[in-house]
Amino acid sequence: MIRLCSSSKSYVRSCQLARGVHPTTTTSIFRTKSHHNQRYENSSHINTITKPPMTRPQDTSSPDLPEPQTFQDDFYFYGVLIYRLALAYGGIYCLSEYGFQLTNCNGPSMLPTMKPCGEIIFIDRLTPRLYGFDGGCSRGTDRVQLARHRQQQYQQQQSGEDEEEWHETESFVPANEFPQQGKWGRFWRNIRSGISHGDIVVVEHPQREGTVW
Amino acid sequence: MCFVAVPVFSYRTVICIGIAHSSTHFISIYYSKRVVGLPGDEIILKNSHYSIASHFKHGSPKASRAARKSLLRVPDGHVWLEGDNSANSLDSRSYGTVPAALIVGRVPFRIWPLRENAIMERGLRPSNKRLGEPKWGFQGSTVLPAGYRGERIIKQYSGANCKES
Repeated sequence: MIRLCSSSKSYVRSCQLARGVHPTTTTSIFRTKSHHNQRYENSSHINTITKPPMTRPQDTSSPDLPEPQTFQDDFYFYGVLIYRLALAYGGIYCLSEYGFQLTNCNGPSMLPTMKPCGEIIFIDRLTPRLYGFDGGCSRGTDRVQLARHRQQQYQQQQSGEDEEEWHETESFVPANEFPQQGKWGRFWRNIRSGISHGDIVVVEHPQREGTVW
Repeated sequence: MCFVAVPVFSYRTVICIGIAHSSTHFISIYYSKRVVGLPGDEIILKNSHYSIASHFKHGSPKASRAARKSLLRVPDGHVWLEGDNSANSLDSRSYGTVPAALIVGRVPFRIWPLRENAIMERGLRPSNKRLGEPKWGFQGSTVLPAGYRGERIIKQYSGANCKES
């Protein structure tokens, strides 16, 4: 490698002498630095690259162009945000106020049916509003007449039987004595009727502040 | 708690709004009870020493004042609520009949835990025949349905009858 280099220098020198050029003067081939050497001239390591100097971008704004309308953009952004917030909160409120709600329950008062803690129940708030009380009457006298009319119909069907019997619906049967068969039928039948005996309801406490009797 | 997906927001925003909304609901505490009496029903309190037989014996207009005081008729637009655990429940036996306007909703089924039967059947409080009744017994009140005149009650559901006097 060294020999090759020295031979190449002697070859260049002989060529310079042949062309009448003084051999001490360096030719342009040795004086000109390659682009590679210029790029890594001031770098301590070969892998470090000197970045080109940062130039400040010129201001493109001119008095002829309109300025950006930041106030309107902000107004539009916050308007859309408030609209969507109101839409989401209103949707959730309507669904939980008039549709259904999930809540957890605590306390031992409903113990065989619900455990004292850790139970999440589904509150149906729609069908009690739609149907009210079962049978559609909330007055005691109407319910008494309806029950006696139903009792007469029952006695007519059971002709020849003991008339000293009072027929009651299945809402007077203990809840855990129902057969497993037909539970979905009973479920849908109960959902599509009003509040009756034996329904589990969620109420606001009657003695809380602000309750009007 | 209420988790509802609204398409205009990401799930994080919806959950935040749902939690904020449900936190406002926690301010008003709800109670879960079973409907025992409806308007027109007559309630005989357990500790009133007043039996059904004495009711129909004294149920005439000549009934004594004490007997009438022991009998409670559910007024219009009100319900009589009792907890299933009659020995440890604060219900209508303490604060009387409850206006129907205070009813928030009905509980058709349970979401969690996923054990046994999650459907809340419509019926009387579950009888505890398998485990045995507690020593103190049933302390709830006896309900006479509207229009009842002292006949033998037949409690019936589809396919089977169970008679009780």
